[in-house]
Amino acid sequence: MKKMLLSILISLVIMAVPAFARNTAASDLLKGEFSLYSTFQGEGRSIPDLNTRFDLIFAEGDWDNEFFVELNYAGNLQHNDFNLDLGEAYYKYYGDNYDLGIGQQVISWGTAVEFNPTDNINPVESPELFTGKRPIPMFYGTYYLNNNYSISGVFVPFHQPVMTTVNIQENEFAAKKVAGDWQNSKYALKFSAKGIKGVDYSLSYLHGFEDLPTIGRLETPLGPQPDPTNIYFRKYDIIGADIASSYQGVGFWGEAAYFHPEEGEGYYSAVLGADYKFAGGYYLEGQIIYKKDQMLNENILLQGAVEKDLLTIHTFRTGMVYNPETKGIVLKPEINLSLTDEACLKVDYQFIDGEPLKTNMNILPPMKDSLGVELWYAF
Amino acid sequence: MKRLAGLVLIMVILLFTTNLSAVGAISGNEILTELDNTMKAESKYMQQEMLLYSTSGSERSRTLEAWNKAKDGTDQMLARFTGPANIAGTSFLMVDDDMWLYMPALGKVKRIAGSAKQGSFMGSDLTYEDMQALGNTGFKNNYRAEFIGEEEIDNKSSYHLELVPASAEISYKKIEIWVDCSNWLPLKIDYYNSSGELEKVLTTSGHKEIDGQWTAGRMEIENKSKGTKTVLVIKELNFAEEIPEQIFTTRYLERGQ
Repeated sequence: MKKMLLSILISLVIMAVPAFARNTAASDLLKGEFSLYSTFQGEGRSIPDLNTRFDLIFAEGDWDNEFFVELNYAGNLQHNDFNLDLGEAYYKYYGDNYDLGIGQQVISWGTAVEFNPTDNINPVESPELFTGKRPIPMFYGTYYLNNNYSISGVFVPFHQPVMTTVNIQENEFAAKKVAGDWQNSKYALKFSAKGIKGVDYSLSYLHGFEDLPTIGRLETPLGPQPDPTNIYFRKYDIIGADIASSYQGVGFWGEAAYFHPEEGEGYYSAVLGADYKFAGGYYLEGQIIYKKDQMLNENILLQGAVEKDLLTIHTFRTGMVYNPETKGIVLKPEINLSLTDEACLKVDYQFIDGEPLKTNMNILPPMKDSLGVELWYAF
Repeated sequence: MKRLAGLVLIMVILLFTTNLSAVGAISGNEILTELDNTMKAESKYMQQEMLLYSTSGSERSRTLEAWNKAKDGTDQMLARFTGPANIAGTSFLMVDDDMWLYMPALGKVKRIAGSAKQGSFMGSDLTYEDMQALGNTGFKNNYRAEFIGEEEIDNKSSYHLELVPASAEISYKKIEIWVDCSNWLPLKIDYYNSSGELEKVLTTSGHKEIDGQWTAGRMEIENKSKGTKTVLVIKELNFAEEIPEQIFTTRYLERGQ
């Protein structure tokens, strides 16, 4: 069924191409990005990784509809190991009081910065903190009740986990796959309000399967131990809410979600944040994050960032995450240098001290210090 | 001879008093009202090129399109970058004091804090507050004007005004404006920061009448404190086209990327 649905989605996207191509030269549809990046990680690695990525984008859009296909060709230059992936590939139709979207896409929900408890439609790219989202096939629609209120719906036909295997005591074990039945589909609804007396808010509901696997436990004389034969994905429901406004020039927001699995204990995450732009050009943002995940790991994190334009055309940003309980900290200064209108050079350094995330049962790879350099060109 | 001298004297007095009354009859606030009315447009669509100059003289070019509309006392603006590729699709919506930003890389609409009004408008040397004042909001609601005198700016006769903020929310200590006597457009604006130092100088040129409305084809903003410069050049301008009301909603921030 997965293959059939993918074929339908891709066919629909391909069918939309001629509609645009009739009035548009092929060269006008073509856009792209090329990046060359190198990451040096500490702890025994003497040679930095040298990677490259080429994104070719065919896109065209206007007020009435939009077509977008992205092909990603990325890999490691040292090992000559490259992969061609389909990135976002969708067609969107914009009606008078509704929008419809079909294809492989990323839908972002929530008002907080970098960590959004209510944003659970797309799986994250990797199970680390603050990573991007992976596009997945879905149907998406929004009905606008008026200029301020809207209702959105998402339907994801089959389960798209973040990871399908788990490392237990240096051995890799596969999780039981979720069967590709309609009854296992993910669906979500969101009611949004924008600009209501200076306030934006939304309420959301999602039903589906968790993105990360749950490891069953075996009762042993030594106490409970992970059961490698019982790794599976739990069905769950999520209720979420977010709000954003501004008072006396200070922007503030709140976002929370309660996760109710079919079995086991429920958990929730919440974020409270604020930002302010100073007259001198400094932008300051800070958040308190409460995060309880499905493994019942509980963390309170202080996250913040300072941004500033340099010489008008360059930018500097320093991000920080601090865990008051473990005293673990992540500091990430980065500078974006604009080389030309189309090209920029980004240099960042990630410094990690202690354990920024406290875990009871760790299925995540350890975080390491790293230095990254990226040359980026868009056309 | 006496009658002739008397007639000449009366004519001189008449001319002198008429000239005085012509200047004296118009107050600073009245000039400001004329300026606001000229800059204000019920509906406006424009394509612009924005040139940014860093302190080292590096130039970066941006192209953008903007829709403006004033309705029932509500000022609305939607602006979208169309180039270069790395920022194309970045859009900004302002409806009175509410502001939202859409960045394609984030994939979602973000509400902007009120303090951002003091910050740079899309990387330029203008702030959101400046953009509002130069657009439909105008200066009169937030400043009190004093008429200083008539002066020549670039061989054009202008009214020189000094503006002081009427509310504490305004970030400038004062503004000086030279208004073109012939078309009520600003020829030059000096912005003084909260310490009273000259922060920015805005000059306009290429004044022309489009659809019965006077507008400046080019604006140059020189930031004296940072040493940077922004030039805005209008490529296309349309006052006549009716802009649908729903364009000024967050849904249109994401559309047509």
